[in-house]
Amino acid sequence: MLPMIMRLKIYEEEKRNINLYLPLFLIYLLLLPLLIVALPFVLLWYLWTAERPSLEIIPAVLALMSAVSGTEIEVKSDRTEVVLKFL
Amino acid sequence: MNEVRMKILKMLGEGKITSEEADKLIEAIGSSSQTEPSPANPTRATGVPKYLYVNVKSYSEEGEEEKENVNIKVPVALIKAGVNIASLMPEDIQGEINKAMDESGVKFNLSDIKKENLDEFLVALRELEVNVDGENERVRIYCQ
Repeated sequence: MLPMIMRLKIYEEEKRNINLYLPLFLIYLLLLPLLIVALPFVLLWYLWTAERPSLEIIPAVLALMSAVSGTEIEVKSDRTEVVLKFL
Repeated sequence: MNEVRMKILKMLGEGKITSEEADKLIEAIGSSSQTEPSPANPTRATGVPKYLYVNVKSYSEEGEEEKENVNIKVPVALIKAGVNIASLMPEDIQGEINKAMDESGVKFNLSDIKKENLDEFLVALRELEVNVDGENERVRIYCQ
């Protein structure tokens, strides 16, 4: 399953902190119309091009995007903290 | 498991079983719990690990106080998907990647990675544990 939420936390002492839960599913919804518009052009390009790339790349990219879910990066020091999580 | 043990002790207390029988039953529970991988102890489990962890801790020179701490948790599925994409790349791009890696001292051919080898490699990752202890740093890489 594609990651649905991205958590970004940037904490710095005595500065404005950022703690965001970005709803990625909304971004996917926003990108969907663009994808639908672009699809006929991509199809035309694919039919016209001489060296056709393998279509196996599409499920592979989707698998890669799905696999991002669960990735966590935390960097902490005395005064700062950065957290990036894909949920 | 504790519930079963309590039941055995209760039966012993009620006189339904002898102390020898109770001993045998408790022993049997102990041996079965050793063969089953428990979720609390994932190192006993088999198969492909789920996550690759990289922990880097640096300590202040005075003592054990943590100075910096980096925790990275990468799903093993991401590694698998990345290698799959790399194997789907056109040959000329793979050649360029191999050349760049060769120049960096890593003699590695991307096209050598087959799906079966990759699965075997990922299963073997479960046994991976890298511990590097420096004067003020500690690096730990492991899979679970």
